[in-house]
Amino acid sequence: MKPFEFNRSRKRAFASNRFHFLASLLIAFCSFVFNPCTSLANDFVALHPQSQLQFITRFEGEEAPGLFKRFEAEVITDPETSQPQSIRVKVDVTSASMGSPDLDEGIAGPEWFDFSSHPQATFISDEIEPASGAGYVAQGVLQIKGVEQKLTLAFDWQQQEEKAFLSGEAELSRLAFQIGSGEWSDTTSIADEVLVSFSLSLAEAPQ
Amino acid sequence: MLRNSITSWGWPSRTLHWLMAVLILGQVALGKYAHELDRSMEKLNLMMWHKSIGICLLILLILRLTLTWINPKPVSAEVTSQWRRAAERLSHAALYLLMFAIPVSGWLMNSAKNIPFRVFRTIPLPDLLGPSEKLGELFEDLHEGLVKALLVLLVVHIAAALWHHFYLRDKVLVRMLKQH
Repeated sequence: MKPFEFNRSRKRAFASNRFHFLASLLIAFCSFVFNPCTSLANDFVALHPQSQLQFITRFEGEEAPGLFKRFEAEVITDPETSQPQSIRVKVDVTSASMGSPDLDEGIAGPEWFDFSSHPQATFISDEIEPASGAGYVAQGVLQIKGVEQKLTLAFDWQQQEEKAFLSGEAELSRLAFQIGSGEWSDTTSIADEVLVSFSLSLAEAPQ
Repeated sequence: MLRNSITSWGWPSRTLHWLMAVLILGQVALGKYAHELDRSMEKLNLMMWHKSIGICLLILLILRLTLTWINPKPVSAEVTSQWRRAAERLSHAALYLLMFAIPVSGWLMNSAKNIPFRVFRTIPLPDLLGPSEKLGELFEDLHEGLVKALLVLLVVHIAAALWHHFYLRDKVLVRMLKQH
């Protein structure tokens, strides 16, 4: 009796394992086909306050730096290669500060960032390739003040298990985004070039 | 004559006096006009000129003080009374002090308000203070108050010069205009 019973329970266990194995294979297949990002890729999000998003312009010939205090950034990596696959950044434009009440009041206005009509800026890229030297190059679309522009963004990416570090900079034209419109498009006092630099500390988001 | 003597001002001192007189009056008008403008390119431009001329005035003042220190100071032989000499010394000291304190308070204000600035858009100036909204407003009030005090003193200064010229009929005013 004993061996028979043992056999039967083993048979049952085997059947149950086989069912589980097939089911999980099916789920894995479905997730791979329908939603490869969430289940097979790693999702990193920027941590605050360690992450910084800075912009530097020139005012009367002097460097004038500013910060975006609030923004969200998400980087999705390929779990096989650990290489970044896509980047999504959402910036709360109204959190911009140049450390001067006079300037901060100015940049909020409709001719500048236009806080009330365009509170959010975005950068989205799903095309990321390793750069010829070190780092990566993302081809994406940057939207500020409702204006969308293609942007090629070079950046460094360092990943250590569930933590990652992303940094880089890009030179933008404020006039291309109509930041400083009307008489402010004169660049005698305030330069057109704006250097945006970012250094983000990221952590893997819970699945 | 290059140098000042006990009876006359050399041409460098006379030139500096009148150059600074013109620049100071221009600065007061320019500062007030630009301050009252709404935020605009014109305001930015005029403020840049106001700040740059202010720094030039500070340099001219240092030059002028150096000249008076290394030279004898002309004195009016006619002014004999103790109180008149004291009044002259006091009002001139106050004028020099204000000519120093006004541009410096403007510089401090600009530093506290954290407004990027270069003299004539080219020469960088060190920040005297870190950004502070409170100190920015404090130095703004101080700058304005000191200018008002300067204007009062200028009225006294001009009135005294005219008094010397027309009432006392001495050489005090003429001495500042031409070689005596």
